[in-house]
Amino acid sequence: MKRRSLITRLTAAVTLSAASWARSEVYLTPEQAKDVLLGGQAARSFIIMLTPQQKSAIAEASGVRVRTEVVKGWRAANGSWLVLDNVIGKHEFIDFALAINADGSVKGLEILTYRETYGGQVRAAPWRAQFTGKTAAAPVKIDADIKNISGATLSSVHITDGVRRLLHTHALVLKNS
Amino acid sequence: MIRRCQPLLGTFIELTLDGGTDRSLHKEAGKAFDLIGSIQRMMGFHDPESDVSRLNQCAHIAPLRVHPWTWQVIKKAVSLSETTEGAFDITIAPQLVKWGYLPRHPSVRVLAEAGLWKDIELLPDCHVRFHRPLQIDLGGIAKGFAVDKAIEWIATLGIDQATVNAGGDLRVHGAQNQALVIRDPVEPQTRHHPAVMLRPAVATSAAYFAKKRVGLSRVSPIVHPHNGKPLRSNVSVSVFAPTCMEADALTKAVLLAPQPVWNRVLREHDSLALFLTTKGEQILFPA
Repeated sequence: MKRRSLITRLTAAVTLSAASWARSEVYLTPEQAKDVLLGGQAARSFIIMLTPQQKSAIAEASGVRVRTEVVKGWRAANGSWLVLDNVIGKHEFIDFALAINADGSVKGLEILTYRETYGGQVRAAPWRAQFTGKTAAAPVKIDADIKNISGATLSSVHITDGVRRLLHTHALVLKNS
Repeated sequence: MIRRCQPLLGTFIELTLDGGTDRSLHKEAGKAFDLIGSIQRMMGFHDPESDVSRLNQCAHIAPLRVHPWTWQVIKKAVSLSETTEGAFDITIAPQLVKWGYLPRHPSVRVLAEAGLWKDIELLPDCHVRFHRPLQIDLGGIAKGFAVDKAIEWIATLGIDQATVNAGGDLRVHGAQNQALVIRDPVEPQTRHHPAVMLRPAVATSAAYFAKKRVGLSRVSPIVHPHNGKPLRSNVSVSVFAPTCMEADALTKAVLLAPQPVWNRVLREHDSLALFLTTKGEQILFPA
């Protein structure tokens, strides 16, 4: 096999360097998501604080842990809702907007912000600190102009859990408010 | 320019559109997502109402009519199975169900005795028949197909530049030789290798995001059809091809077929394969 000899024979298209970076992608602001998902109809913003009883009822009905008691977004004139929420996946933190019709069905979903980090170690501040110096010393800013990333497929299963939790939040709390 | 992202086909679909007012681009992006959503409803394994699930339930009893697009994707999959001597095979689903990558549908009870791609027969008028009980999963090819359909539709709108990226399987419309980065197989979140779009479409396959333990062994959803064993190495393969469906499917062929076979198949499809090894080596075929 000629594989070994080919290692050095790279085309000009591919360079050897690899850059270190964490990815953060902003797709839509909450206001833009409101325009896209509610189609520009009149809507007023809302913030609802869930009671401990409501939190546990939603968790039980959806089978998904409820991390925060704050539910916020917009309520449209026709009775549909736009809820701003986030999920923490295996490799990513995701903000998303879910539009729910008055009858409790999903109207649409948009990812607002997608952040890829260092898996489970992200919350360890000392571990994270070792990177701050490095990025300053080696400022490889490829994320500014290169937007296309190819790699093994990332699963979106955590979003599904988040949607189920919000649909139960709608059924148990929003619908009756 | 606008960028949008929705979770579809089990991954994140990212749309980038350039050339027009934001308002009109948002409208077209919404339609492109609807198009991909309709492909998910036809070809999803998880949805018990999809063409794929209906076939898995009863195509071994009588021929079943499916959407022309489903038929087209199955036809392409079977022809790739032929040319790759079975290294690409959409009938490995039972193994994936067993390992928990795919859901077990109550109506299907035939995991053990499932057949091979040779047992799929494509009949005229979009009918499909299985000669034995089978479970097919289009997860290795349908994402690429969906990207192609979205890009082909966007191309008819007079939009200057567009990219559709289905969690790493992407195709560009407009500019040639665009830059991209490919995830490092050892540190996929933090390290990326710069590259150039050598063809309009690229797809990458590797096991790094999907490995898990089943009992005492480690498995991944990339399964060798001949022996049922999972790919456990962390090598990453990116295939650059004229269409994303070819790129998506050929990555699996390159990972699983013997080298002379995939070398020939790459040539037949005017495609290139870029390997990234865990030692940081990059190898392009054909060189």
